[in-house]
Amino acid sequence: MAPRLRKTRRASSRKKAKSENGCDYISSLPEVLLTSILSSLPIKEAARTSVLSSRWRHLWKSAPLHLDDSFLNLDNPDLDDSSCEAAYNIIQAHMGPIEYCNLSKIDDRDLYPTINSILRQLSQKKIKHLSLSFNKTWERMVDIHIRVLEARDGNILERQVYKVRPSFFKCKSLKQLDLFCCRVSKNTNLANMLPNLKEINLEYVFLNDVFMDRLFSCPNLEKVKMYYCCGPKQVQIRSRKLRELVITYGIHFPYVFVEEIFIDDAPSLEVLTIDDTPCHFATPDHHITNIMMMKLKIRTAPNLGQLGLYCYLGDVHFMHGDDDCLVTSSPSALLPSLKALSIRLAFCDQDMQSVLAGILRCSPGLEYLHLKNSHRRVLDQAVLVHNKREVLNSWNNQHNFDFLENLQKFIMCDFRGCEPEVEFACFLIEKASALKNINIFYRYTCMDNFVKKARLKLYSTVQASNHLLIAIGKDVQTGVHGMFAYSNL
Amino acid sequence: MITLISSDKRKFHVLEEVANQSLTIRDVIEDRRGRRRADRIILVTNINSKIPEKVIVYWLRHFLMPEEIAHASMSHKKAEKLKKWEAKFFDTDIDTLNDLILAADSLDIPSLFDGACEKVSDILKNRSAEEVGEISKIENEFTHEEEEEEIPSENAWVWRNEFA
Repeated sequence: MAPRLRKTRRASSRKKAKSENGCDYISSLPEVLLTSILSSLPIKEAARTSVLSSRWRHLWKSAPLHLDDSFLNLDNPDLDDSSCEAAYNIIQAHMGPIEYCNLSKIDDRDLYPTINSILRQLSQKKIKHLSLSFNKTWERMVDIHIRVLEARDGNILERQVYKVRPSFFKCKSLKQLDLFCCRVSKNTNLANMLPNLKEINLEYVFLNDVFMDRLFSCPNLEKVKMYYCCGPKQVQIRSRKLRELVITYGIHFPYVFVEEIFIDDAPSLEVLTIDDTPCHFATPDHHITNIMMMKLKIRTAPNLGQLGLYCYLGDVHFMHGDDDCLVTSSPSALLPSLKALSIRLAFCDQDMQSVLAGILRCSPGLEYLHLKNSHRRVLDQAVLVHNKREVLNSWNNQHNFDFLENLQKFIMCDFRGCEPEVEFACFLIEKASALKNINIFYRYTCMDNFVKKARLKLYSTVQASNHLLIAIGKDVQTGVHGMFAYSNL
Repeated sequence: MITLISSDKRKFHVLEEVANQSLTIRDVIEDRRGRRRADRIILVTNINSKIPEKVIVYWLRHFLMPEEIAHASMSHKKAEKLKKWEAKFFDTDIDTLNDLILAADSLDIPSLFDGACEKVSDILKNRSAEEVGEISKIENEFTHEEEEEEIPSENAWVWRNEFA
């Protein structure tokens, strides 16, 4: 009897509050609108509304779910197991659709079966955006990479790295997928893989050729970003809708090295970025003994507008039908759509300079050129040894071309004040008639003298008739990925 | 210029370009294009007069600074200003927010709808279930057994840290 009494007391106090303060406005909203309020609450608070009244009891389960497991155990951040279990309970209780699910606190191997069931549930409940990251440090991942490569520990992959089941890739609703520190099965040979996938981000994922092949045949794929992924040595791209491709690999790691990128047929490709900058924990420079050159081949990319090359390229190839022609040798316009080029360049690296010259020659529409000076001296020297060639010092003598008539903006970062750099800038001033802006950034105050000399030289090159603005300034921002960070200057 | 008439017969004259931010109104105008002036009157019957005022204020602010521009090239300062203004705009009682949500839904103004929904969820955030019930005046008609045992055990993970 006692509990009954308590109930009436509580209920009546609530009822009293109601009659005093007016009517229940929020419940007068239709269910569709209530669910959109609930879906912008953190899941835990949304689920708490189930105690409000019988109408609210199941309401949160039909609100589009945004699940982020970092919000699940705010008071107890160490309890990884429980947050994974909780995520499983939520997903099981929810009626779908699930808009977004982020699982980032999984490390323990015992949880892998739970993850399997979570993924199964997710794909049944029409997940749209899944982000799955395993709580491993990057150092640990590199260690695993090395052991796999050296075949010292054959089962380490089995034991340490989660494998995404091939059946998950049948999911029809998935639009975005982020994977971090896991692997995909070699049996992922599905005829119709992820038919609605638009964007995929892969970081430290163990891939294989079969998967890559299937991935690029996803019919709606638009954006691919790969960071330090292990597996494919050659990437061949054939994709109707692909718009953006970013591949980052470490030049230090032969096992995450991509030897060849072949843009076979990508009619919608607009942005291509290749980056070999090692991640921050990478081996120190003096361990590098062997530099490998990446090969970039382009056959069909009629819409390529932005090209970012932050890597050591032996050469860029353009394919004309079946003919393979080097960018350095063919003067015809093969990349007429290219508007912006961002390139990392060591002025001692003649190969890379000829690549730059070749691309400039092949892209008459170029409007924006961003040059980032390579500042990894040891790497550059290794390249120099590799090339076994003389340092190129005069652009004027080597490259005669007049295809720069559309160039409007030139930006050089990490300016060191050496002669070839200044000479290249002068070369641009002379050749590019439409050039409006030159921005040069240097990093250290000790270079003020060099800068002064360079400034004098540049100003003396400019003719009075040119409407050209030259700005030389000190700047600490050197992020490789900030390719277009300067474009607003 | 088009005229909106609210449920209590008040008239609001708005520039077409401004009212175009409502996808519903835009469609209506598009449908009636080329007809006479009398057809430029739109009834918004499910909304009382306090709300159109607010909606039009919101439109005007956003008309001066369209969203597309806001994202691409608006300076940091201006974005901050707009944010502040929106925070002030949505800082009202929950009943007005309710009406705004209804209006934004029926007139199809996505940014207003999202903003109001977010504000309501902000109000409900970090509060116990009882507080939420009181703020929004939801009548609790659960029996004691349901309230104390059944529902908490149904979603044990929600309450774990509170009861531990």
